Amino acid sequence: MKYSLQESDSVVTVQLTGELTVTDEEEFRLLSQKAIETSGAKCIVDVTKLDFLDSAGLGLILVLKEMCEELGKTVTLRIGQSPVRDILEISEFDSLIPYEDA
Amino acid sequence: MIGQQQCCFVLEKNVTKRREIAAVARNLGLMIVYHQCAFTSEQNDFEPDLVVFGHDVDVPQGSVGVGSVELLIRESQAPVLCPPEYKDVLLEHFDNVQVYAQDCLLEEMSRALLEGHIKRRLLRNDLVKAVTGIKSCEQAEFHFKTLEEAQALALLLATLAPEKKLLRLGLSELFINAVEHGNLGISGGQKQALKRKGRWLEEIETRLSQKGYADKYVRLRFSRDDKEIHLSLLDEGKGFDWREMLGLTLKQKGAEIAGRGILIAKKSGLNTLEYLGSGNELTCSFSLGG
Repeated sequence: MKYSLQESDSVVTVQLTGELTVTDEEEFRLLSQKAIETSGAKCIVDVTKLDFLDSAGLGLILVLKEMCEELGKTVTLRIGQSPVRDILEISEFDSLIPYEDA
Repeated sequence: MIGQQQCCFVLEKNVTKRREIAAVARNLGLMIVYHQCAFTSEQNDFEPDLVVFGHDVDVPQGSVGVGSVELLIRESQAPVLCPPEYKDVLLEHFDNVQVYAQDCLLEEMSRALLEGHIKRRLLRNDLVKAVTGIKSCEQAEFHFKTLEEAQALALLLATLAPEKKLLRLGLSELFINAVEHGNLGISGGQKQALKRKGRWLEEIETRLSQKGYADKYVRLRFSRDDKEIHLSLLDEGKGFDWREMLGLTLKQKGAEIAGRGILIAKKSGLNTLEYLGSGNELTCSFSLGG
């Protein structure tokens, strides 16, 4: 997994590329820490360029959501035409985190 | 192409400049092939490992057909090095375009990009061999114990299915469950707590090296018939209440971080999924792809 963090107008956007799986816990944890330390009141997790994720990867996004919510920040998922749309669909992820561009 | 001398395509019309670029490529041990233009069809039996554009080349204006040289470069996925003025137009044709801002940087950049490309090409070749091998395999038995091995095996077997990405997800969930919940005895509740603390992978690593866990393997048996692949997975754990788990839906499971894997696997394109006995053994099947 690779990522970029961008902050503008109180919104921090975390863009993920590559694969987010069971072995990315440590790196994602560091990313989550950086994301919640920004001043933004809203966090967008952008998965439009993510090629693959598994249930552990979904779990990591949910941990980020919990960390943000504890600080009163909201979290949404931007999926666009992401290659992982079908994975999110069968995982019924929309019931766990709101989509940015639903 | 392995075993052949590595090859550099040089594109430059100015003869003096062309020689300078060729000298750089020769220093890296590359064979050199000159082309007047990357967008025409010219006879060429070589696949490039590096492509270098000089300052004086013909680039297409507007929409043109795809020439054989361009196709060779694209298929090879070789890095394309160019001066800044050609970056935008080349990015319309090739994925891996890198800019050398000054001619003196060419050799250093070429060396680094070539090394990365060769590594990736060797990995691709290994993967192609593995996939070709599994495609002709009738029966096999695999033993694995780490998460990385579980992931790699799921990726390999999913290449046989029509819906590779979803099946990779499903198999990966089942194989990883067999390692973490089966062999390593981490319960759903423990996993959830470890995930929240960011200590889950650390716990897996610790248990994998501990006495009582270190010698446990997951056994996967593989067989095929005309239409399907059949898998049988056996871990060395105590099993779990699979009857209750399989009866749940994802909505009933709610927002729990752990425990969604099996429910996702059920929807990943498997034709059958059955747990046996105490739950440390399962069988599943999926259709063969084209």
